[in-house]
Amino acid sequence: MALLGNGALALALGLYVYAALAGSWGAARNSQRLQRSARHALLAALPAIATAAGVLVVAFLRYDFSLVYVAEHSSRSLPLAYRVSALWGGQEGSLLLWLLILAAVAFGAVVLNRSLLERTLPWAVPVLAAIASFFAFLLVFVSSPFARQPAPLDGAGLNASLQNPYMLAHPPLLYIGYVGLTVPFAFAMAALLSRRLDARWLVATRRWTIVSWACLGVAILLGSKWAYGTIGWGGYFAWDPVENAALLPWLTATAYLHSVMVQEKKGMLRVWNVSLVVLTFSLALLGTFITRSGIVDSIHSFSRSPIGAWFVGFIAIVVLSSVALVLVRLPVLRARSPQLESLASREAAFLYNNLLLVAFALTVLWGVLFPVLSQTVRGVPYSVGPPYYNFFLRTFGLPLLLLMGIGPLVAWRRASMRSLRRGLAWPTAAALAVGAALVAAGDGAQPAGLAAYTFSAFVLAAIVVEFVRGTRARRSLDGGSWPGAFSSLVARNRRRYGGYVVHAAVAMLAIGIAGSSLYRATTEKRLHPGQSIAAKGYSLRYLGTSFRPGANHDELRAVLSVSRDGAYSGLVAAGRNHYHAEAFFGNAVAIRTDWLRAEDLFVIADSFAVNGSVDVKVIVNPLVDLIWLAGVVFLFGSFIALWPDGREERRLVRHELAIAKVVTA
Amino acid sequence: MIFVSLLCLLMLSCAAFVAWPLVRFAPDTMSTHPELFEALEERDRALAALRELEFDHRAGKIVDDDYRTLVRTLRLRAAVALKTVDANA
Repeated sequence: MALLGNGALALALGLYVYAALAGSWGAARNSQRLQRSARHALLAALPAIATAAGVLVVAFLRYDFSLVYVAEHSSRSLPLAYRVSALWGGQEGSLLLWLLILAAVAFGAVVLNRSLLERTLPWAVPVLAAIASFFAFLLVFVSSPFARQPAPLDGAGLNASLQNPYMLAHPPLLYIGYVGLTVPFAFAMAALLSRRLDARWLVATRRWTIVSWACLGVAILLGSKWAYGTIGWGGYFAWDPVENAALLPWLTATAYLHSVMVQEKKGMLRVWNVSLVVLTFSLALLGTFITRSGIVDSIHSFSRSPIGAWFVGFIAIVVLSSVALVLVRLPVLRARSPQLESLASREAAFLYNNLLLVAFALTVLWGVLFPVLSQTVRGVPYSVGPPYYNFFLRTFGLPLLLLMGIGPLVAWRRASMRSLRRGLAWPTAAALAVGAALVAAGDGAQPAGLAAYTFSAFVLAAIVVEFVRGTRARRSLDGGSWPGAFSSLVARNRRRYGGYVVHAAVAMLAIGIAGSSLYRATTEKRLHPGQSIAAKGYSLRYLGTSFRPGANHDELRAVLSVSRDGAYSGLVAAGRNHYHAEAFFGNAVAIRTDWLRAEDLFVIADSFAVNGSVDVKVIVNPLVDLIWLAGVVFLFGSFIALWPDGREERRLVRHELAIAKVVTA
Repeated sequence: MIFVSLLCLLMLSCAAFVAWPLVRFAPDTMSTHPELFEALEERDRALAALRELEFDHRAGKIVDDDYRTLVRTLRLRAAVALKTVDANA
């Protein structure tokens, strides 16, 4: 089995190296035979890598502990689902998953964009192949998942934190997000190498960018939900380096998704867009590096590994070569680039949004790298904590939120004060009404929270205004019914209106974050059976402990009866799990959601004593569930935005046909 | 033995698939005409901008005075783009 796995990986490496070399040569020499052969090599690598991944999954299912990786990340008592997810439980398997997703993404990008690729971007194949070669090289020569050993009787088990349903989806989605960003990068580099810097590479990569960005966003939220229910500290995002590493490319990809529209509509920001693509891909690589290398201390650093130096070298090559390429092509990129007509226009709003997003990303990056830099310069790894990040979240996040409401109301090219006043009237009134209501209710003590709530109300009202005005305009242009005009409005510009739904999700997220972080109530107490603890209208009476043995773990719980305003409302059980094979204790918190009050009762029980006493911490988290609901709305908006719209691709194909007609005439 | 056979089969299939275009593919002519493509793009951008302007005007985002000024500029731009397409075609 190991021979088949190793051989398949070596074959994939050979195919990718060939695709990179033959593809470059074919593109430079305009040899279509070589280009096609390179493309075939890129496609053929997918079944080879899928074979290697399949071999590893089968080894997990068959308890083949003669493979070091299987023995280190599973055990006989591990449930079936986690034996499959153990594939990405360690470094070697994670790299294999990275490569498998990259192979699938490259396959899809080449096959689905064939009509555009055929004549325009033969350089995309060697760029994709060169990136994949690096990961295949690591798996074959540096960090193989198929290393063998004399088989022990049982394995060491899977990290207990990963034995969670959210961990079945979070890592693959995160990797799809990271890896998918290879496509815009490869096509941007191909456009630069081939000097074809028109809209074709943007159209070819748009859907891939949205899918990657959406997966990354959902993965961050799933990771937060996992942290909320598993880590057991009452929060969901700790500004941990690994969490930040995922946030970084998401922020710059968000900036790119906005600025690319300016290039498509106005032919502006070509240099900026290519630079954003390079930055985003480099940050995706950095994210993978931070997650897997253990270079920065993190609750997610499962191991320190020898791949760090290789990764640093690869990231350096990617950054230096792509920056050099952008510099060499600057004259072409800047040619025929029109100027901004007005500072009060949609394109200017996109520019401000981009500057804020990139500035925020850079401050987060500085915070992530600060321990490494201080270790290098001063010999001590100083780190920055949540106050640093929260300060910049408010500094850049609140203006971004406000801009998210203003931007859609501003016309392209230029907007007059009169039209701006008219557009902003309703959202401003809604925001002021919400602000006044909050102050009247006594919630005005937190300026940041008040600003987040009022700005979110402004954004939500602006979205409603946009849909209403858009539907009215569509109806006046096309006629027909109101529902017909509404569906025509969305269908004609799915990206814009899907984007507005995503804006609504971000506003919900802002309300959820502000509510749960600024208005939460916490109480902590050591309880003996029969004693009670109270928090924000809740009273919890400790009844005693319960113990339940499981297949691969035992559950110890403190059972508490909950009353709200004097009325009994049920039992909660919080405590700890003991995982046998892993010899690990994990938290098992109790979360009780009250949808009517829009708040969570979060209970942590720890330090169980033989006399029956236990430490109990109770947190009342208002509006936290709005964050998870925002995830669903975000996904819905992303689906609308990326729903295939063949019109543009057909338009470009028509251009190709027109050109072919002229050339052959 | 079965794993070795599977690996050999995989290698041979991949090699055949990669070599196929080198021995059997008859290259077609590569039609490139960047000036025409750029002209078609500019024409489409100009026409889309006119449609967008009309929609924004109906939606109340652009007042009548601005609309009249902008529509003149964009019509001129579209006319120039159409002429360039004709010249290149």
